[in-house]
Amino acid sequence: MLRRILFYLALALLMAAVLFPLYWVVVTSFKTTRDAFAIPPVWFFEPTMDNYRRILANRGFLAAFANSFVVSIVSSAIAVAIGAVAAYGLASQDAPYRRSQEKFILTLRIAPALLFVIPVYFLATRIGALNTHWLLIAVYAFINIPFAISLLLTFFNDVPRELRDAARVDGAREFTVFSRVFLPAAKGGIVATMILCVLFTWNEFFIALVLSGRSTQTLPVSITSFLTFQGIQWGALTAAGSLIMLPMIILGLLVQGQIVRGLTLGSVKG
Amino acid sequence: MTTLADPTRYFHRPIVAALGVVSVILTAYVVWLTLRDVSLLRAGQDAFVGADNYLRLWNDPRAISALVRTALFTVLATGIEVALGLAIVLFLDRDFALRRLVRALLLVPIIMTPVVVGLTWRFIFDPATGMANYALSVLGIGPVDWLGSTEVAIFSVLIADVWQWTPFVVLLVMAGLESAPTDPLDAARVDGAREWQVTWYILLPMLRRVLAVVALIRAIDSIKAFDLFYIMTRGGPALSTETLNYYGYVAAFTNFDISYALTIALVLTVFTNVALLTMYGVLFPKSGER
Amino acid sequence: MISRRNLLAATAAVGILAAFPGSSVAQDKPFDGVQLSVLMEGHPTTDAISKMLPAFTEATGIDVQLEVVPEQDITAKTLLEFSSKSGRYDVVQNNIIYVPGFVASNYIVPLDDTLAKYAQYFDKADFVPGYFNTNVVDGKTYGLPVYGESTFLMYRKDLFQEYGLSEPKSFEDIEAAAKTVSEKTNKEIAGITMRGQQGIQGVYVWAAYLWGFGGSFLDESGKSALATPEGIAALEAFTKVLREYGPVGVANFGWEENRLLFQQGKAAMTLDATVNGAFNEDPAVSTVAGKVGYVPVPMKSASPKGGSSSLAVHSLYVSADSQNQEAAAVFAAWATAKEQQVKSLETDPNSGVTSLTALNGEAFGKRYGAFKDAMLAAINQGNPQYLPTIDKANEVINNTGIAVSKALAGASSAADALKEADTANNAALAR
Repeated sequence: MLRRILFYLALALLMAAVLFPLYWVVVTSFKTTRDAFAIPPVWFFEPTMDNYRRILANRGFLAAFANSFVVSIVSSAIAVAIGAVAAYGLASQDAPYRRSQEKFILTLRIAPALLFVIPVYFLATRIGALNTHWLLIAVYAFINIPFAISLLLTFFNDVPRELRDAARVDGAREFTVFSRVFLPAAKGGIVATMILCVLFTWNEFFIALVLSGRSTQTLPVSITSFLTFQGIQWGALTAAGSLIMLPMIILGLLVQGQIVRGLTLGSVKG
Repeated sequence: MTTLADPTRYFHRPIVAALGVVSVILTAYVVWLTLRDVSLLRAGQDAFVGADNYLRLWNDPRAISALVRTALFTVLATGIEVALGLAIVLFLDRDFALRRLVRALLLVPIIMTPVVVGLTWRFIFDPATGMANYALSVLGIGPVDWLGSTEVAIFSVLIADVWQWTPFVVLLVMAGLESAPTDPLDAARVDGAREWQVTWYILLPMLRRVLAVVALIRAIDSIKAFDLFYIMTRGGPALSTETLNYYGYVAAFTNFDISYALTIALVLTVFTNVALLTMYGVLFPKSGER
Repeated sequence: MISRRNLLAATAAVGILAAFPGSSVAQDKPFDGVQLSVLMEGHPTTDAISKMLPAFTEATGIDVQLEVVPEQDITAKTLLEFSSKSGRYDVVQNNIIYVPGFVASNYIVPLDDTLAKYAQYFDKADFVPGYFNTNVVDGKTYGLPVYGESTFLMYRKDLFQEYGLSEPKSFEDIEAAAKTVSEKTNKEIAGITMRGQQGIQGVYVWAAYLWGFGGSFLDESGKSALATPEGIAALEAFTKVLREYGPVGVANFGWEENRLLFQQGKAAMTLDATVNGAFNEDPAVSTVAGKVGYVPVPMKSASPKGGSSSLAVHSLYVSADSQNQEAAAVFAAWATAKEQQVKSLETDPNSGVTSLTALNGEAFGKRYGAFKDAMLAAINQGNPQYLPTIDKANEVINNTGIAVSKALAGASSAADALKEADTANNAALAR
C-alpha cells in the first residue's frame, strides 16, 4: 500500500512538472496583465476574455491558422507517403546495405536550417516561388522525409519478415505486399510518424520566418509579432499560444490511443 | 531469395537518389557562396575570396568556444533526456488508474510551440517575478540568477530543453516497449529472475534499437537547437550560451554576413556528420543486426 | 495594456468600416485596383493602422496587404528582400539607424515629390521635428516616422523622500542614491535597474553612459573608439551600479524584465525608454503609478560628442524595386498622418505617436500626462547618432553588447572588454 501511495505521489509530481508551463500559458491568457505578473502568484482571479477577443479580431492571425493547417498537413502527408515507400524498400534489404543507406539518410537530417534557408531563398526568388504555399510545403516535406524514413524504418523492422515472405509465396506483387500487408501492420507507426511531422511543421519557426510571406505566414511567426519593440504583449501572446496549441493537443489526445493500439494489436503476431 | 531480382529496391532507390541530388545541388551552391563575400548590405557587389571565410573561422576564438559549448550542450541534453526518458518509461510500465490519461498528457511538452516554451521558461526563470525563485523562496532558499549568470544560464536553457524533449523519448521508447514481445520477459520471471535483472538483461537489449534511434534524433536536434536560445538568452550573458548554430544566425541576421554565416553552418554540418556517423557505428555494431 | 472600453470602441469601429465595403464611386481614385504589399513590425501602431486600412482602401482604391513580423527580425527580412531585388514589399518599416545603409545601397527612394503632390496626407509641420529629421539625407526625405521614443531617468519620488534623497541630476547622484536605497532596504529594493542583456538591449541603455561621460562609438575617422578613457569610465560606472546595487538577474534583463521590476516597485530608479512611462502610470499593470519622477539622462562631460538621450524612431520606407512607388508613398503618408495618429490613440496603447497634434491632444494628455513634458524634453535633446548610424551598425552594436555583457558578468575588465570590441568592430568595418 505504501508503495502505491509513493508511486502516485511521484506520478503527481511528474505530471505537475510536465504540465506546469502549459498551465501557466493557459491561465495567463485569462488574466489581466497585472494579475499575470503578481508575486506571490495570484491563484484565484476573475478571468477575462479580452485577450481572446483581441486575437480573434486579428485577421492576420486567422489567416496564419489556415496557412499553418494547409502547409503542415500537406507537407507531412507527402513526407510520410514517400518515407513509407522508401522505408519499406530499405527494411527489405540485408543489413550492410541498409546500414549504408541509413547513414546517408541520417546525414540529411543533420544540416541546420540556416544552411539551406538562405540558398533556398535565393533560388526561390529566381524562379518566382516566394510567397507561395508550395515553397513551404516542399521545404518542410524535404526536411520531414529523412525523419519519416528513419522513424518508419524502426517500425517496419518490427514487422516480421515472415509476413512478407508468406504473402510473396502466395504470389502477391511487391506493391500489394507493401500496401496490403506492411502498411496495415505498421499503421500505428505511420500515424505516430505523421503526427510528429505535423507537429514539427506546425511549430517550426526559423524556416517559416525567412521563407514565408504575407499570404503564407504561419502561426509561430505570427505570434512572435506580439514581441514588440515596446514590449511583449503577454495577454495576446498567451491567448494566441493557447489557441495554437489547442488543435495539436486535441490531436495528440485523440490519437495517442491509436498509436498504442496500432502497435499492440495482433498484427505483429498475426 | 538473393538470386532473384529484388523488386523492393525500386521502392527506396529513386527516393534516396532524389534526396541525394537535391542535397548535392544545395551543398554545391552553399560551397560556392562560402567562397565569395556575399553581404546583405552590399547587394550584387560580392566577389570571389577563396578560402578567406574558412581562414577567418579557423582564427575566430568566438567560433571555437561556441563549438565547444555546442558539444557540451548536446552531450548533456541527449544523455539526460534519454536516461530520464527511459526511467519514466520503466516507471510507468505497470497498471495503474488513469494510465491512458497520464500517457496522453506526457505528449503536452512536445506539442507546445518552442517559441512559447522559451518565453514561458524565461518567465519561470525571471529572478524577481518568476515561479522558480518564488518556489525557492517558499522553501527559504535565496534567489538564483537563472539566466543572468554566466555559469548558470546554459543549464537553465538545458532544463527547458530537457523538459520539452524528454517526453519525446518517452513516447518513442514506450512504442518500442509495447511492440516488443512479452514472452521472454514472462519466461524469465517464471524462471525466478528479479525485476531489475529482467529489465537489464532482457528489456534493455530489446529496446536497444529504439533507444539508439531516439538518441541520434535528440543529438542532432540538440546540435541544431535554436528557438530556446533565441528566446531565452540570445547567446548571453557574455556569450556564455552562444552555440555555433546561434553564432551562425548572428552572422547572417545580425551582421548580414551571409557567406561567413554559411561557412559556420557548413563546418558545423561537417563536424556533426563525422561525430554522429561515429556514434552510429558504436550504437549499431554489425554483429547486433538482424 | 488595453482597456475594455477601448477594445469595444475598436471593435465597433472595425464593424462600421466593414459595413461599407467599396461603396463609393471610382472617380477620384487614381490608384484604383493597385495592390500594395507592406511589411511592418508587431506594435500597437501597426495594430491601429491595420484596423483603419478599410478606410484607406475606400479613399484611394489601394488594396493593402499587410505582413507583420517581430521587430527583431524585420531588418534581416527587409535586407533579404532588398538585396535580392525581389520587389516583394512596396513599403517596409524599419529603424532609422539603417537609413544611411539603405540610401547608400539605393534600396529606398526619396518621397518628396509624391508628398508634395498629395499634400492632403502630409503635413511636415505636424511631425515632431526630432523624429522627422532623422529620415532626411542630403535634404531629401526618405521615410516618415511611425513611432518614436527617447530615454529618460525614472525614479521613485516616495522612496527618495523617505530616504532624504534629492532628484538625481548626475551619474554620481545616481550611484549615491542607488547605494542609499539598496543599503537602507537591505537589498529588498534594488537601488537601480537597467537592461543588461547582451546585444542591443544592454547597449541601448549603456550608450546613455557612453555619451554622458563624453565618449562615442566611433571617432572622426570612422574607427571604433570605445576603449577611450571616457568609454572605459562609462562602462565601469554602469557595471558598478548594477553589480553592487542592481537586482538579481540584471545581466539577462531585456526591456521587459527591467520594466516589470520597476513597475512592481522593486527598484528605486531605472534609466530606460520614454515609453516605460506609459506602463508606470497605468494602474492596471503598475503599483507605482503616480509615484514616479521623470528627469533627463545626466550629462557628465563638459564637451560631449553627442547627447545622452536616445532617439529611436521607426519609419516607413518605399522600396526602390516597388512597381507602385507613388501609391506606396501615399500609403506611408496616410499611415503617419495626424488624423490616423489621433485615431490610433483611441484604439491602441500607442504612446509613441509622432504627430504633434496627437501628442498635444486630450487623449494623450489624459493617459500620459505624468511624463509627457519630460518625454518631449528628452526627444528634443535626443541624439540622432545615439546608436551608430552606419551600414555595419548591427555588427558594431553586437560586438559592443558582448563587451558590456562581459564587464557586467565580471568575465573581464571594462578596459579589456572594450578593447576586444574595438578590435572586432574595426575588423568588421574593414571588411
